[in-house]
Amino acid sequence: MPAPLHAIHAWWDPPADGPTNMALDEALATEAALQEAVLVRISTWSRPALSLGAFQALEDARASTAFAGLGIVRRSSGGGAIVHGSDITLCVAVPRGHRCGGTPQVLYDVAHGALVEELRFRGVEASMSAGRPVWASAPGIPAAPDSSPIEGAVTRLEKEPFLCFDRRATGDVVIPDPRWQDGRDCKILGSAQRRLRGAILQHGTLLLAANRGVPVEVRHPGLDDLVGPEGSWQLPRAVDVVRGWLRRLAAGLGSPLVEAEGCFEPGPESGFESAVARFQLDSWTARR
Amino acid sequence: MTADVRFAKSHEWVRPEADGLATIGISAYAVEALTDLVFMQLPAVGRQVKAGESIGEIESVKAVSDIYAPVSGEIVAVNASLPDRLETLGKDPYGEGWIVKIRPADATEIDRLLDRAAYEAIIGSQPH
Repeated sequence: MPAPLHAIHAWWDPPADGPTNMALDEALATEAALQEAVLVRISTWSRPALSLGAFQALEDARASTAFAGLGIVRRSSGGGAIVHGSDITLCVAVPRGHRCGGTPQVLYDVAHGALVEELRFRGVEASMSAGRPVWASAPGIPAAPDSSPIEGAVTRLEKEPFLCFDRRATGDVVIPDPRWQDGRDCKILGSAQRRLRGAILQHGTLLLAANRGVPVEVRHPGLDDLVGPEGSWQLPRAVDVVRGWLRRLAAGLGSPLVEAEGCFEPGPESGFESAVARFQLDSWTARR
Repeated sequence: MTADVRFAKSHEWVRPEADGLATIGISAYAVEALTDLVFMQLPAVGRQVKAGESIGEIESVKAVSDIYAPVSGEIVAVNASLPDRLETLGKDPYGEGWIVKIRPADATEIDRLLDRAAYEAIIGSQPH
């Protein structure tokens, strides 16, 4: 039976390496623009890796021994760096003309609100952060202006925390941190977008558990650590949470959900193969 | 918004100057939609660009967007201090917030862009 018009199509993909995941997500955005449909790809990483935000400096990653041994890939989306391996990526591609294609916050709120609903349904006290300026969490670090007009030069207004999960933006999904009695919370879902000509690509990272493959100073607690019992929020059990998120996302967008059989296959117009090659290039990773 | 400015659907504006150059920026609508700008990358002076080609990137707290050349030609100047004072884009997007100047290869490309009324009709129908 043909899929209903304007349905949200979702694929559950097998684990892949960084360049492949990035290229598939770009291809997803291309398809979303061509089909004028919301497309979702749920993916994991085949080996621990560090993904950099589009504007982050590679030297900031290389400066820390905490990331030694991790493969590094640069995303096309913004935001801070993410250590992958104990997370699940919720990639949403929305055509520009869609009602969530306006300001960045709209899609952010719809996708994150759906997870808050699902977690609350499961008894988890989740909420969306009121946020604060990204630089507020790193007070006292001076700006590092670079006014060079040379292509490739990037100007940063102020040094932000390097890691996404050390940042806090309006709409980030947070849950109370049981290790503290003063109301502190932990971010468990953050997203960043690439706004392309025909579509908006949003990478969301749901932290299922602390990544024990990296030193404790760059480790962030995930659902399993914060809510427990141990193991209950890790894969494959977390699939139920994500499936619930998908249903609520579709309901929030007012569209039927079609969970595709098999994995996402990029169309011939997507430039998938060349995108994989680009994301593998050292020159791409080191472009900042 | 000045009357002599033309717009691309991707929210860049172009103002033809008396010296034959075209000044390029991004619209007030685009700046407001992005919110909380944090990074900007400018192109190199001397680069030849085609209309529709990315000439730079701008990052807000949650999103990275390309800046597209609305006309073809050579980039002859960039607003080099703009990335250090991104708030200018919000305060004066059609003046001090200019981004690049291009020597157009074909000045009629500007005429084919949207006038103010057509652009306002487009942004009025955009999702918020």
